[in-house]
Amino acid sequence: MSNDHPKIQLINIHKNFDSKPVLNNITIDIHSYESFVVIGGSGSGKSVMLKCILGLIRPDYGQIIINGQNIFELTTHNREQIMKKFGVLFQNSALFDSMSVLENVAFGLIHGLQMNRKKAYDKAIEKLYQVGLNINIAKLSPAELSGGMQKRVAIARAIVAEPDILFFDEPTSGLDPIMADIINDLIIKCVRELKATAISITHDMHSARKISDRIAMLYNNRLIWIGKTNEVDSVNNAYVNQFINGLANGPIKMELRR
Amino acid sequence: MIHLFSYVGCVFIGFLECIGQITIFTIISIYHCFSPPIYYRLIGRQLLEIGYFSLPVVGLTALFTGMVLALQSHDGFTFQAENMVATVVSLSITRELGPVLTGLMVAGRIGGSIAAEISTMRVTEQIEAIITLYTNPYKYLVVPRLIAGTLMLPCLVLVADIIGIFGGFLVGSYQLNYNSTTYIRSTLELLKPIDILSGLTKASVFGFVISLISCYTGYNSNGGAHGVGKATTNAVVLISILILTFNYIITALFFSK
Repeated sequence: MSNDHPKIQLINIHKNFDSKPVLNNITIDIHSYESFVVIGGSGSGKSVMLKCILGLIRPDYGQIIINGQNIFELTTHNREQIMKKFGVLFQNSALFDSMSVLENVAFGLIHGLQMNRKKAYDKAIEKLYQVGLNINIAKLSPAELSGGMQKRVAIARAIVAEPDILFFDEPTSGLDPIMADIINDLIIKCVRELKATAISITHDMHSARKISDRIAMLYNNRLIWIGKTNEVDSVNNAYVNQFINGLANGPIKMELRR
Repeated sequence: MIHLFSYVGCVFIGFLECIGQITIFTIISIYHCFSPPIYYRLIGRQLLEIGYFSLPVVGLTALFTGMVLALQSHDGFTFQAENMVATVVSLSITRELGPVLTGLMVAGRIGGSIAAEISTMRVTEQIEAIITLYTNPYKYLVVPRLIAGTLMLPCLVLVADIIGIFGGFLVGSYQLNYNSTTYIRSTLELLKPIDILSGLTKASVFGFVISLISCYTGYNSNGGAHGVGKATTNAVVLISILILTFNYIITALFFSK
């Protein structure tokens, strides 16, 4: 599973929003071909961490190294070259509602990679088949699709350029358990077929156990545990135990107004 | 008292910060207007959206403005009303009312719509999606609107000038019983190229301002549905104020002695 050099390294990442810390000294190594899942409650900093790796948010300090290159020290052109190896599934799919499904999937190929329109549409149709959708939905708009189908379209859009690194932000949120499991299977299939490195963030433990090789947990903006997926149920950490078992009582206190 | 100073200071710093952000946004946007790739298809779509689809509202506004202007100015002139009304209508329309009213109408129709569209894309993570799909959101969202706004507003104002003057002619000829030939001759004799040119220059600046500010407020919005509403309102208000401000500046540049 792992090579000598990590594919992605986060070194001492700190990020504050208006003096409120959202990431505090996060250090993680993610290896090639690994499926890495970050779990944690709402507001624990998972999404911000993902956006930092994607280059959408700049950390206050710390380094993010991808393929041996610190992405914040690269020129815009070189950073764009690294980003061309990314595929991202957003939490609410983030499909472009002014375009058809086909145009959504082909978007990155046409506008980002300057591919010929006909070629891009052919490739988009191929990817739609790959995620279990057929040509009939290609002309529909995203608003006409169910949540599960929108996720599939978003996965097709994420994998259409055959990226090296896949990011999944809450891939099963808002889906029924059966559809969530279908999406989990689809993620595993896509990651294997592309021989990609995958980083997912979720608070769905069923999904985390199923799609990951390793899991890390964030709590209170800090990394509190990291280990192999098969170790998560036997770990001697009260915070992790409470979270993975979904218990109301334990050291993790929810911010509730009384 | 100290609270008052503190409040005024905060508002002033916020104002300067906003100006700085708009300046940076403008520089980045203009840079991307001249660097490849240029999305010609998107520019074409925006030319149609901003120009062609605004024609009815701009045309109607100009027509009734020209008609009202002829009616109102008729009362003010007892001698040579035919000549004077024609001059007032043509100069007012070409120099001021054509560009300003067209700018304000397009600000309401297009400015609000651009701000709402881009801010919705912001709050639903579609702009982040554009970035992760190897596409520069400035090039994809801002540049086509900026180019289309700057090019189409002068065309709309030219149409508004013609329709506005025609509106004045209709009222003059058919309601006020002026001699049509005299009215047309007066219009053509007293209208100079600089009157039209100043109006078109204003239109171009207004078009740039409308597109830029609506893209800026949309791009920097946050906070869900409330954020979208706020961005739209801010865009229309700010554009309207800027149109009136630039109108004065350009008029002073062209006509002050």
